[in-house]
Amino acid sequence: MSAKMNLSNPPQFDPARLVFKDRVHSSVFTDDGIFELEMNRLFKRTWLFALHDSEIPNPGDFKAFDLAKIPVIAVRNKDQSISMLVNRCRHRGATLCEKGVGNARNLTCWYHGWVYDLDGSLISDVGQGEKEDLGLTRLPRVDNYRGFVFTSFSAEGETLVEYLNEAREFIDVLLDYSPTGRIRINPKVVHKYKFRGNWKQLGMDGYHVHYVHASVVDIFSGRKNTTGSAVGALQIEDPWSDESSSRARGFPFGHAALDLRQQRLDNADSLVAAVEKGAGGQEFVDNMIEIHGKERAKEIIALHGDPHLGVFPNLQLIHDHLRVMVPISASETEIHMYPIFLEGVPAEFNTARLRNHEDFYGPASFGSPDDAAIFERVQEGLLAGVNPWMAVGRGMDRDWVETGNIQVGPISDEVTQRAQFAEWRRLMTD
Amino acid sequence: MVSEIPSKNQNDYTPTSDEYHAISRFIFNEAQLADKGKYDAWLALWGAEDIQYWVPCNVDDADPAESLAIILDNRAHLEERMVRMKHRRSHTFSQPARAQRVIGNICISKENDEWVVTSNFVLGSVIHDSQDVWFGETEHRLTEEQGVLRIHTKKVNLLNNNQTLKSLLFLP
Repeated sequence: MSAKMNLSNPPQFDPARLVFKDRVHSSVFTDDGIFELEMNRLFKRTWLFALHDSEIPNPGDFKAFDLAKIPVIAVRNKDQSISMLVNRCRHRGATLCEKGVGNARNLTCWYHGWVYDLDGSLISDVGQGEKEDLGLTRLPRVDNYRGFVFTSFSAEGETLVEYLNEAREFIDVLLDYSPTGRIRINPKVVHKYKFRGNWKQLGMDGYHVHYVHASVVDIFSGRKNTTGSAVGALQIEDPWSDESSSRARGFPFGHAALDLRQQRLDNADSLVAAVEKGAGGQEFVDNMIEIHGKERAKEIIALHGDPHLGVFPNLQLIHDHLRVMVPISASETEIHMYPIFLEGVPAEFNTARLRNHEDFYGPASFGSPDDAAIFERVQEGLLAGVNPWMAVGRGMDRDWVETGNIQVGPISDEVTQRAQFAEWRRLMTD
Repeated sequence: MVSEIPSKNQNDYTPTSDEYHAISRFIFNEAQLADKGKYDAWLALWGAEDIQYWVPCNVDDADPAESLAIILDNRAHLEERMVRMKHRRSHTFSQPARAQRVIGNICISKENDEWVVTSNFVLGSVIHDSQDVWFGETEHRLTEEQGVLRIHTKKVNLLNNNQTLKSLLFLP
């Protein structure tokens, strides 16, 4: 007999019994009923990353995409504010925009010509109902942190600042690497990638590198300099060793970081020298020193603008890119990886970052396909209904808590998974 | 017997029948070696240096200076790619994908000393229990090194390069 419970319509189970501190039940990853509950209880209640504000810079710019399986449109209004609208005509339900980006004076449904203003209010006379009741459905909350736009389907809950809290410091690591403090995301420059596995497999995991990416670590070890590579600056010290100063961090609300900062700061001089040698590197370093002074510039450059941060549930800032996790079903996930362009740097500096990204990430890169392969293997194994628990207890006996209720441990400890599942349990059972 | 085969661009050099067949054989052989996972023999078809293997992403001609590629290899990176595909602990390739492509619409022209060959392909790939079909167009630029044809550049426009992709477990 399969231990998989029948959780479809109506769900007859208790998520609290599926997730414990040190273990998670397979059905959390495999069951369609749980997936549906996740969309409703988790994705429709918490903050979700929507887009970066540089993707729609001008009034009328819009981006249509899916959030929690719902087609939405982010629109830049005439007053520069951003609206999040449900991409569904209030008349017969057609989507107004095709997925992707564009610019429009207003949003028109080409079924019967209903016209909406950029903020979603209905403009045309439609011969039924009250105009003010027939505007596009607005997502009740939109907020942003330094250009990262988040939204929520729920009118209530923590403010974005409360939600991100200590994780903001890691977003700052990314933005500080730009001489202007600003980055640019081009919505048309993206690796869109999919695998047959559950979205939660894309946690932050400091434990897998030497196993899943063994071939890459081996190949990159043969290079003279891997500063800025996805597996870290191997020439100075292996950041994925528990003997290193790297730390795994689990934050309240499910955020998690693989914190490589200390190692990078300890080796700042050699890392800055490596950046100087790259394309446009000298100009970049000189400019940063002029802006920040030598000491601070050295610190920023050593951190490489790489927070290795997961913002629960759908954003990760890793290495040179921003990625959005898009759950499709319990066993299918898309990842959209947008390279981060820094403002105020030589063009060739950003180009070099693109090449760095492609090296490890994307459908034919050296790294992502191994991640996808292991996720698919996990998804397959989880269907075994016997002994259906997966273990996430590594390091529970040695981890500690730091200010802000952040769980901390050596890099391979599963504090990151535990943070993710603590939040999952809170939202699913609350 | 047709002695001259028209090229895509009538202003270009028109290959003789012998040239057409020799170059087509080269293109078919290259595909066969890639499909069969004969990586060493496949790599040997490339020029010694200054090569480019390019599979654009999102847009066929996306400028690599400002855009991502799916593959953008110079000689050193292509060699690393071969090491990776053969690596004992490259889990992705522990069970190699079976691949088979059919090539057609071959057009040949010449620019300076370089053959410019465009072709279309349909490629089936099978891994585990799933079979995928890929379509694309390829542009090879071939040069002769010591009397032997070598690939100078190869650019592959996948028909779905603007879509969400699975891992590419073959050499496009």
